[in-house]
Amino acid sequence: MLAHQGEELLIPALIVALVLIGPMIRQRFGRSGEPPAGRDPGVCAYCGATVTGEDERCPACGFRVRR
Amino acid sequence: MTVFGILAHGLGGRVDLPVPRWMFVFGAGTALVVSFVALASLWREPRFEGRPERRGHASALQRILTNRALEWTVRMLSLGSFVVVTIASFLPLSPTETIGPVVVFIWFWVGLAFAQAFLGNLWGTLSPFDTLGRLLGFDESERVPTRAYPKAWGTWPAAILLFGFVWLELADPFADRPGTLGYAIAGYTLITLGGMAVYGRRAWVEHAEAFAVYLGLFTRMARLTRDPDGFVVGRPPLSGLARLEPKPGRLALILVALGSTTFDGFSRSSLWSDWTGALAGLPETLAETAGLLGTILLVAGLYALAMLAAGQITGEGWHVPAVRFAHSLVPIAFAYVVAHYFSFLLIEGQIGIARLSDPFDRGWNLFGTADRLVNLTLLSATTIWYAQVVAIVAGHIGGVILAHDRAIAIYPPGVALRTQYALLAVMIVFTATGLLILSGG
Repeated sequence: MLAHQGEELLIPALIVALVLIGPMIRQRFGRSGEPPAGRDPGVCAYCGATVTGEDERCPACGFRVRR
Repeated sequence: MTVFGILAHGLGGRVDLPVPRWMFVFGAGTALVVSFVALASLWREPRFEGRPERRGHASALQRILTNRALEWTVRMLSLGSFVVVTIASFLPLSPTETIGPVVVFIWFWVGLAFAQAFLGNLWGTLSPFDTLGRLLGFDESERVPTRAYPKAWGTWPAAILLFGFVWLELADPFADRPGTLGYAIAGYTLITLGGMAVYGRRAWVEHAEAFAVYLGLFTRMARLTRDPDGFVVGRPPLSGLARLEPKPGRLALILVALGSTTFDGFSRSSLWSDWTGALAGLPETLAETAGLLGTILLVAGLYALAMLAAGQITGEGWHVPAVRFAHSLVPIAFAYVVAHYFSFLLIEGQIGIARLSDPFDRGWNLFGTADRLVNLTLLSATTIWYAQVVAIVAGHIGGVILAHDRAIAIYPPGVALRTQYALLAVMIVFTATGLLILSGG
């Protein structure tokens, strides 16, 4: 049944391709519109806990530190 | 044939629908888009993120719900049932002849997922592993753990153990050796108690006890929860997911849950039968293992692509938004459990009522239910299909709501909505694929 209904997946797949690729094309050509959201360099990007320059991992959530 | 396949031998029937099934697929996709537009225009302030926890007040009902004697009575009954199920699972009989596989794969795996999503954390009290950990003195309040649980592990042990369980269930590598389930339960119990002994009961249950972590996701959807004093309090449905703390391995566990259910549906389609129908033994197990892993990776890849697109807008790469929006996949994972297994629970789950009276196939009739037959007319195929459509659409709309609520809480207004476009597109694909798989079953 799936084999015969494969074409019905094409439209959603096309929408996904457009939506996924769109921002990347805009980024590539420098027309991304608004600037990225500002982030505090001393804050874990995952959980918002305070991290120091010596932390390899966030002391709160355990992810590698990304500020 | 997998354990699920053997247990699910009675399902089927003719579906009478007013319109072709593919119209349901397009209708479901449209419902998601309409929900997204409605949220963008009407849901402008976060309602789940940062919501203060409600506190309960002492009352007669709360005294019953927090009664220690009642709690331990339930714990000991559950532990006793666990022993019976484990012994039955060692018996070299077919999955429908003892109480073991029915309780493990239907009542526990499916039924408890339903119960957790509507009633809250029942597994916290019913878990025999948790009870054994307390009885053996592995709680942190009784003795200092040998080692501190490594934060870097997060819930990776739970994700790996959950994969092991779904592999046992769906690839069924020991199909020709009835009784293997008993060894699996014993092995898991040893790993769990060993982990509790080294790292402490609470730490292990919170991070590594696969069923506590998996079922704990659905608990966050429930309207009922407990406050810090243990009182049962209400909250809006789904709102508990906004409090799901980010941890390494959490996303992996959610993707294992989502991908494995998807593969279970796909493995019952005619397409999968065409590919693997001629295989048996080890080649069949290898094909099912590859199919299971491939489906999980495919679901993960689609989600990662959506998050890559979101990360392009916020300048964060793909991983940070992938972790931030992981909670939005939980209602979808639950919707797949409902869509794929609710008829299984209500129909094949009846086998367990007969097996209660004769758990070891010894000819007993302890409760007078040993001769009870399965009522196959309880649900029609048409009813099952409508329930599947409603579950899939509701689950994805739940996911869209959670992602939207978080996006507007953490990103500036102009950015928040744009981060959601790709996720919406992927959710439409999940919806369409989910319904197509179910309609091909």
